[in-house]
Amino acid sequence: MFNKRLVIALTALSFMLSISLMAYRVNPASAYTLIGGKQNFYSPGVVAFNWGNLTDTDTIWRQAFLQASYNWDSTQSTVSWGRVSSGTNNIMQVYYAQNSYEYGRTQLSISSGIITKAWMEINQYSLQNKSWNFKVSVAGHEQGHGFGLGESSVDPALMNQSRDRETIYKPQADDIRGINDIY
Amino acid sequence: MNLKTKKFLTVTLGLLLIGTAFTTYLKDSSGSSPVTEAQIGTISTASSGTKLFLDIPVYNNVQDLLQLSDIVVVGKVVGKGGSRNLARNPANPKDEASDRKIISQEYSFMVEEWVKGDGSNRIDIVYPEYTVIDEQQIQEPIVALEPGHRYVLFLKQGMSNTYYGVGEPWQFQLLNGQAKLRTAVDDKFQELVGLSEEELVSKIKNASK
Repeated sequence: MFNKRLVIALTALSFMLSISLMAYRVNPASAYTLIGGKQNFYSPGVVAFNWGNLTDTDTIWRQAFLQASYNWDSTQSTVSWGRVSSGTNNIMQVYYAQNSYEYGRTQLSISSGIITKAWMEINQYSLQNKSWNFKVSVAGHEQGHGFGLGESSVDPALMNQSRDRETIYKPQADDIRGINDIY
Repeated sequence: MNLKTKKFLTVTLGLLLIGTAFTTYLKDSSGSSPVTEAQIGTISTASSGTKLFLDIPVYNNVQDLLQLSDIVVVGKVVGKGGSRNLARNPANPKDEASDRKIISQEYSFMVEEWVKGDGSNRIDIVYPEYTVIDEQQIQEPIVALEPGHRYVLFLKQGMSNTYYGVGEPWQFQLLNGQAKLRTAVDDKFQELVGLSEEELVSKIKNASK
């Protein structure tokens, strides 16, 4: 009698465990998205970029991109940005779109799974009166697209458009999972 | 089949099931991502292999929409106006940008009720439609306003006494007593869908108290 009960209990336990694991697989916590392309490395783990229209006097915008880049670099992700003076199609710069709620945009060209051009831009018009953290959050979000990440629906995530940009200005666990999935 | 064999078979079967599930889970965790296409605020011009991603404000409740809007109005789109280039030179915004054009559509809006803010009974709304850069036209993710239709709009004040959307969503079309949320953003906006006109306006007014 005892053995029969043990067998039934073991079977039920096995079944429930299996279902739980399968359900977790179907609905994983991670919800980053990928754009279907990745960067070639300039040196191991480093993706090259250059300034576009940002001059030496555009300190605030350069610093926002650099801080965002540092934030990516200081995470457990496998990639970082490194500036070169020529020979890259990865550009970080500002644009000025009046009467637009856009904070930033990234235009990517992808060929055979490789990102051949990434223009990572932040909108000076909508960001000029925003805080430092806000600017860094937008710059980091665009850099995430430059690496090959799409948008995320996870909260918190730097790649989530609904994020609080005052507090979410560094890559979060979901973003890093996405990066480590690509590279 | 004796009890011992049955027990052995059952435990083996159970272990096999667990093993299969766990292996499948591990494969999923370390392999491709669960979703491979970007879903929010993304437009793709497939022919050229160019993709555009926008970082835009997305709000999920009336309180945030109301707080961040300069004005909230109920009324009707009475016509389309001209278009203008919204792209300016970052170094000198009085000048147009030299590297791109962001072409907008203007709409004339007859205000029935100022829910937030105050002003004349007619306002102009500017809505970016497409960008031209490197001789390539990139469509913005928009839902055009429809002349002749009534709306509740959440707006910010822009240049030259014009207004523009506060973020997504910013327009609710009023039709047969319903307030239909209109947005190009693929989000659930659970608190903002399925409202009647009366419910939406009431929500806004309650949130402003």
